[in-house]
Amino acid sequence: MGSFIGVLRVNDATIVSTDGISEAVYSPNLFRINKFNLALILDDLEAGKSFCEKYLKGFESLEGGFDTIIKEARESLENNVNDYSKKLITISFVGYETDFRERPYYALMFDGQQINDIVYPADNKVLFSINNDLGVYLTYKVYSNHMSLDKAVNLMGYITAQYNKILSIGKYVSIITISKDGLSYLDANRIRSVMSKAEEVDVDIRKNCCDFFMTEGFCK
Amino acid sequence: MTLAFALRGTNGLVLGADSRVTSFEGTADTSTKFLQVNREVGVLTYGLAEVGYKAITQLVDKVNRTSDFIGVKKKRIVHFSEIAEQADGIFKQTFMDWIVDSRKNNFDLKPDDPRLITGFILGGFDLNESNQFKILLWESPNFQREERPDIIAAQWIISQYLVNHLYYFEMNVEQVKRLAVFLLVETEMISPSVGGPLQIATVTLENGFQRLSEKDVQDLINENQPRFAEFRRILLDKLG
Repeated sequence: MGSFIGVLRVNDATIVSTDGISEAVYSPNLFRINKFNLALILDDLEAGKSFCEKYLKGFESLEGGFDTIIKEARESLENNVNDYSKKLITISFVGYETDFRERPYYALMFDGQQINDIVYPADNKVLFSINNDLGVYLTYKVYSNHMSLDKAVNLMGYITAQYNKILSIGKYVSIITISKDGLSYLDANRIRSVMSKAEEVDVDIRKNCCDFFMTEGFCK
Repeated sequence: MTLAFALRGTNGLVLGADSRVTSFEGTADTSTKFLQVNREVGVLTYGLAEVGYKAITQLVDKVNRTSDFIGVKKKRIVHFSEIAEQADGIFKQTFMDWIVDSRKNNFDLKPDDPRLITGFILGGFDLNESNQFKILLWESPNFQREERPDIIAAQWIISQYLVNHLYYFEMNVEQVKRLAVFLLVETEMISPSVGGPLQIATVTLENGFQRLSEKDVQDLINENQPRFAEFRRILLDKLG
């Protein structure tokens, strides 16, 4: 099973969630390219990380520039195929573009021999690297393009908590927002508060749904 | 893939599956994913449709040959444990035969390829030995028999989320039937490989294995309509 990474896009931001290694430590699955762009390492953490360290540095002064980064990353992988010939690498890129309709989510998948490009259309609001169906299901129920950033973060926290309950993705969670102000890592306190709210919501949902199938009186 | 499950109620079991089969040529909603084995036992399959159908048909044939009056010197009832033992061999053999056969076209085919995951669920009442409802699971590549309190398999993750929020051990079979329809409908909304007519059966001590008719299933879907709406409203209230 590769890394757990979830991406949710709302009108003015993209929210990324992933399993972390410890509280308040940035997840090793993520590589900050510059203020507005992030690489998500889905497969082969070690090889993916080494690729990012080697070829995705030096874009710091490039604001935005999603297309340039993708092009450079692709070329670097193409030119150094032999270094990664026995590796399976999947790296996704998320970034902020001012035009929502054009804001891309893009992945490069390298199977040891050739590079496959995966371009997700702009109307694809949500994507999870593992068992995508649950994230899509929960988002589908409540999503709105114009969700506030706070609500979107809480939704992402809730979805991540459900993945954690069902698949035990990891003890810690990292949540990052990408908006017009750039990348922002939620600090440990904020993450604790988001995850504790997710737990409250979960208990409330179970309480509210108790009488769905049960005999009257069972839930009182 | 598919959604297949066996859930436990206080007075019996509910078995469920969709009927969609997916291949490189496309999808068809024609697959038979579960069969009645004897009066109080049913079997379900998920994963490779060809292997699944062949194996469950073979199991049913074999059990019925043994318990049939014709061609058997001494009539007898086949116990749950015997059905499970027969299943141990049939499920693994059918899968391996398919692998060997398919290697003629694809030499690299490996039994542990995640795209080939195939599984079987046997659910029923063990009338002669333990006097309990039992649910057993076999899954490729090893087909090691495993007993579980309940099973949700293949495209299972949405259903597991719903079970975490909607299922109670105190539910009876009638209530679990409604939950089963809820799980199938909610999953097929999202998963393109789950769909088609819903196949649901119950196993109770009084009535044994009983398959729900299409009309019964449709009635349950209609009865669940306010629940679908209410569930969405609750999620919207809390998260929207």
